[in-house]
Amino acid sequence: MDIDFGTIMFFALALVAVVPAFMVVLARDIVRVAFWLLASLCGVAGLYILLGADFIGLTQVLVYIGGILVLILFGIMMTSKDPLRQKAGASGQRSVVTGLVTAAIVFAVLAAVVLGVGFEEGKGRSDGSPTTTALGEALLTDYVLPFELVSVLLLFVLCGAAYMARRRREDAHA
Amino acid sequence: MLDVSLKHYLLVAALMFAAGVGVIISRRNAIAVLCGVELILNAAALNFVAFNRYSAPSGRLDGQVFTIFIIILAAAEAAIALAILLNLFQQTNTVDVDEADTLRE
Amino acid sequence: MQNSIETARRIVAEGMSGIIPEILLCALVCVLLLADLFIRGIKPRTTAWIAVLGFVACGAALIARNGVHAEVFGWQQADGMRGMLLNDQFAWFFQVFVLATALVCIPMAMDHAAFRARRMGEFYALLAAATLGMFLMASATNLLMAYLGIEFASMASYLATAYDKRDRAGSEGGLKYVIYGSVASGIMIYGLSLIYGMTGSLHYTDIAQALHVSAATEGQLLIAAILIFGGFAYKMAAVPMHFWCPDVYEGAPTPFTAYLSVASKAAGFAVFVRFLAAFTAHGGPTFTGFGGMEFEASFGWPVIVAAAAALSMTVGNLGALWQTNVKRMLAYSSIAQAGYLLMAVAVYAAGHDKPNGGDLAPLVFYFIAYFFMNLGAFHVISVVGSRTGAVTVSDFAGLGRRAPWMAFGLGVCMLSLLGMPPTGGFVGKMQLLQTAVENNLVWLAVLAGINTAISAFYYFKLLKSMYLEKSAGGVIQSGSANLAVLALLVAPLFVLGLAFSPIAEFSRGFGF
Repeated sequence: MDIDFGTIMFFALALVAVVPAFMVVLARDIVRVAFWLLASLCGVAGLYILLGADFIGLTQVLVYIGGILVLILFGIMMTSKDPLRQKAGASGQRSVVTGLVTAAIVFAVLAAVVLGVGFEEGKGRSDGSPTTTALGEALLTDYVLPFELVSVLLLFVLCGAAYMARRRREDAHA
Repeated sequence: MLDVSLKHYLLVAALMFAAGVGVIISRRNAIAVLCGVELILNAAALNFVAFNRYSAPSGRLDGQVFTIFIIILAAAEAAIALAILLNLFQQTNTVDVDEADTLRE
Repeated sequence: MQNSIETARRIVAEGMSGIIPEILLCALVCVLLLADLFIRGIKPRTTAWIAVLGFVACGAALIARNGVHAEVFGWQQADGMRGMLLNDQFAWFFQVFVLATALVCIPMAMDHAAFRARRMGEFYALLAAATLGMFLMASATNLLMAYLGIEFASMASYLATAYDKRDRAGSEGGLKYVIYGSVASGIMIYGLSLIYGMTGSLHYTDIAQALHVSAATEGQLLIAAILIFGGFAYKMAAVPMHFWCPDVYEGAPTPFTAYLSVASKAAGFAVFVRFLAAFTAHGGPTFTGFGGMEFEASFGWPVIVAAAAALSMTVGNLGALWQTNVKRMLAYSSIAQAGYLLMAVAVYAAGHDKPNGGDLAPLVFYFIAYFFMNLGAFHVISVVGSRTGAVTVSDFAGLGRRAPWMAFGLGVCMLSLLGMPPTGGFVGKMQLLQTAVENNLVWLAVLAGINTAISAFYYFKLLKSMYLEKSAGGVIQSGSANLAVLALLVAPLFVLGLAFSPIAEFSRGFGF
């Protein structure tokens, strides 16, 4: 048997990414939905590193898992009194089946697309060297405009979100 | 023996995309729908990184840069969604996309 | 390392002069946010004037950019520049269009009842941010930039829709907008990732070249195209991503509804048409199919766009028939208008690489008419709604007596949206129908004709309510500023309807 380490890692991480993704469809309550999502995002972070995108993998852990997911958990805590009992909004067996059937159809179509001939292999960035320097250079040369613009976006999103979530009483006298 | 190639990553991404669509179809809770969206975004981001690794012109990192922007914008989008949701919850005590239906006549 | 710092410095130094209007909008966003934060008790009127000043400055810079054709911010390749933005006449038209919409929306917001005695700096900052996003959408020539522009405009729009925090309908509209919006953009970027995989590039020029020789099959391209169209359709408010439209239009503050229905739709069309032009630039890869017959992979786009056009106008007009709320009715009407506009895009997609095909003039002309008629309609609804709380069609009963000029303006806009002479809507719709017939889309033109007949029912329902139904309400004081804005929006409709040839000539200058 010549199964190498990379292959084993790929299948392990793929399982970690995909199985929890489907558990998000099946989970009973909203907290479990969030934690299955956490597992799935970890799997994807591992796959990024396996693909040689070390910086993206760590960003995924820091921003996605440390940021977005925590935000989602806060949202759950602040909007429900008993989150573990709160149905995640799937009104019974039927909608789960609908969801799974839709997922199966979508996957069948996409699998046919991605297994087709349109995607060439062979080129690509495969030297496996660390990407942080190269990404930094790309963001400050070729992609400097979107990089600067996204900071304006984050500024007004931050202000807007703070305005939205601000206590009503403070807003009333303004 | 089995060689891991581009197709394997694309299939993983396709499965995640399908799961995300399934979540969006079957859930009515706004936060759960948001979780489905995150799955879809991750599927797209994984595609970008995989294409960057296997089929982009050598030396360029366009796909990885795109993935960074996906992650940033996903964070911003989640912040907005939860801020509006919180504001709505203070008014109505519901997070159900369909239950919030004073608009439907 | 030193080398790349030098490169960065050079790129910024070279690019800055090409994006002055965008920089001014960035500055405007920051100034408005800071003014709101640091100046205690700043009046809504003051922030509104700051916004007007900023937009006018941006407009001046934009006018100075007329006639420029240059790609900015990017990298040099053997056969030319690969920029992030392409400043050309096409982008210029849509940027002026979006900016003008934002300017018209400021007096509407100043007059809006729910906005009085509130801090408004953030609202105008969001308006400026949305405008900036739409600038980027109009000139983006790179998939990353197009995606960023769409998200930029969307995120500002989500927040502005829910801006009135005491209003439950606004919060609900905002929530639906952001949730379905992120679904649409997620599906779109999955499609974009497939395009990146097929071509190995994010730049439109490279994509066009790579698709020409790509091994991708039509099936693959078709699925990618459908996924991407989902995201664009969301911004255009066209079928199949139209369902958010009635809830958001009803829930958003009326001045912002007006902005969404005009500027957001135009930017959606701009980013879509530019993408489409790249996608079909070389007619797509040519396949040798049955019996050695050659056919082009781009065949999918005209079919998708024509189908979306047919469905949009039908769904929009049938949906509008049952509405009693005026803003909801206009939301369905705007879905139908997206259908008419998509008709022009379908013609463009089918024939822009052929001689005599690919004329964007009907689209541009109809957008000019749409600007005046839709903004005019929302202006009247905002003014009347702020004074009487009118929301349903029956609330507008007797408006012909209570506010004769307002009723007249709304009536003209309704007739123009319907496509009746002597208004701009008639000329615009005739041009759309004519190009569709000339380019073998007779079935679509016939369907548009049937739809126009259907739409007469609901446009006339409002006219009937205003002029034939009695109401006990007193005379409404509209204010001279509002009447002036109304005159500026309604008078051009007659110009467009009667002396249209110079504008039709003018609208020819904005192709690629």
